[in-house]
Amino acid sequence: METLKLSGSFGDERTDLLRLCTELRPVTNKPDVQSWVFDLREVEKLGAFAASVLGAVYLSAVERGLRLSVHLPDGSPSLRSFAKDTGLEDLVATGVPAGSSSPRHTYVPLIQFFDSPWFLGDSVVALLGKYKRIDGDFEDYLRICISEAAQNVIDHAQSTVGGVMCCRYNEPDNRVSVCICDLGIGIAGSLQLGGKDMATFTQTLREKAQRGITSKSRPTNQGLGIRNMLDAVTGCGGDLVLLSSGHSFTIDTSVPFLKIGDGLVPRPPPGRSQASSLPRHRSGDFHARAGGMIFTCPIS
Amino acid sequence: MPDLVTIKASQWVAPQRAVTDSAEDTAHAIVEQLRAGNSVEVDLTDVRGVPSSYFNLILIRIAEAHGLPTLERVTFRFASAVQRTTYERSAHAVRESFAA
Repeated sequence: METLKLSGSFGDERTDLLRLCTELRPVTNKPDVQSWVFDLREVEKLGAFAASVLGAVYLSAVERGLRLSVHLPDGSPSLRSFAKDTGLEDLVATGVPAGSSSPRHTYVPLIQFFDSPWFLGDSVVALLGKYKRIDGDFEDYLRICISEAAQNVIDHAQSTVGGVMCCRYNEPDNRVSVCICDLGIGIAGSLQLGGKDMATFTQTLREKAQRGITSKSRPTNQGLGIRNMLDAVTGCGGDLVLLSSGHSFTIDTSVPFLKIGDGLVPRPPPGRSQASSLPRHRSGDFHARAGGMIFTCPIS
Repeated sequence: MPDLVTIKASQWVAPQRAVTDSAEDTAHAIVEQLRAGNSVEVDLTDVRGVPSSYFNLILIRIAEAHGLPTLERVTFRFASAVQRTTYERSAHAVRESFAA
C-alpha cells in the first residue's frame, strides 16, 4: 500500500493543474502498487480543475481494480462543500460519478462521458443561469468549447474511463471554469497513430492550433476542434490550457495565438486535460471580442 | 425550379446521441432530398454547441454522394454567429480536402 498525500492549494490556475498532474503521476505510473491511499486532508484549496483530474484518476484506478482509500478534505467548511458539490464525495462512496445534470451551489458535479458531448453544456448553462442571464452567443461560445473538447476525447483519446468534466462558477470573479480531462493516449499519441511525422510535440500543437492538423482518427476529422476552442475562449477574453504528455500550453489573450507555457511537466499522467476559463465581467454589460466583432451580453 | 425543403436538425439531436450519429442521420436526409432534385435548408436554430465534427461529416457525406458543387444547393440557418463561423471553417476545410 502506498499513500499519496496532497497538500497546499490546487485552485483553477494553470500552475495548480500542472502541479496536481505531476503529483498524481505515481498512481498511473506504478502498476505494481495495488493499493492506494489518497490523503487530501491537508489541502488548503481545491477547484474544478482539481476535481476533474482527481475524478479521472480515481475512475481509472477503480477500473484497474486497485484498492483505494480516500480521505477527502475535512478541514474548512468550504473544502467540505467542495467534496460534496463537485460530486467527489459521491464518487468515492459509489465508485461512479453521480452523473447529475443538476448544478450544486457553484459547481457542476463530475460528469463522465463516453459517446456524446451534446448534453455536457446543459449543466454548465444551468449553473450560470442560477446567477446570470446569458445571451445566445455567449451560450454558444461556451457550448462549442465544451463540445469540441469533449469530441476530441471521444474521437482521439482511447481513454478507457472516457472523459471527465467538472465546472465551477466563481461569483466574486464572475468567471466560469470548465475542465475536461481523460486518461487516454494523449494528443501526441493520437497524432502518431495517424502516421503524422512530428518534429516536436510542441511544434505539432502549435500547428494544430494555427492551421489545423489532425490525426484523422476518424476519416472525417479536419483538425478544427482545438482551433475552434481557441477562438471561442479567446473571443470571450478567457484562457485556455492544454496539457498533454509532458507539455503544457496556454493562451495569452494579448496575442492572437497559442503560446508555449513556461511550466513543463516532466511526467504528468497520460491523457490530456483541456481546461478553459471564461471571465464574465461585472460592469453591467459583458463585452467579448471574437473575430473582430464586439458582442454585448447584458447581465441582469 | 427545385423546391426548397427545410430540415430541422434538432430532430436527430438527443442528449445521449453521438455527434457522428446525429450528423449521419441529418446527412442522410439531406442527400435524399438532393437526390429528389430539391434544394435543402438545414435549420440549426434550436441546436446549440455544434462541434466541427458535426459539420465535417455532413458536408463530406453530401460531397461524396453528389459531388462538391452540390454543396451550393444546401444552406444552413444558424443559431448564432459563432455557429456560422464553425460551419464556414468546416466548409472551407472540406472543400480543400476534396480539391486536394
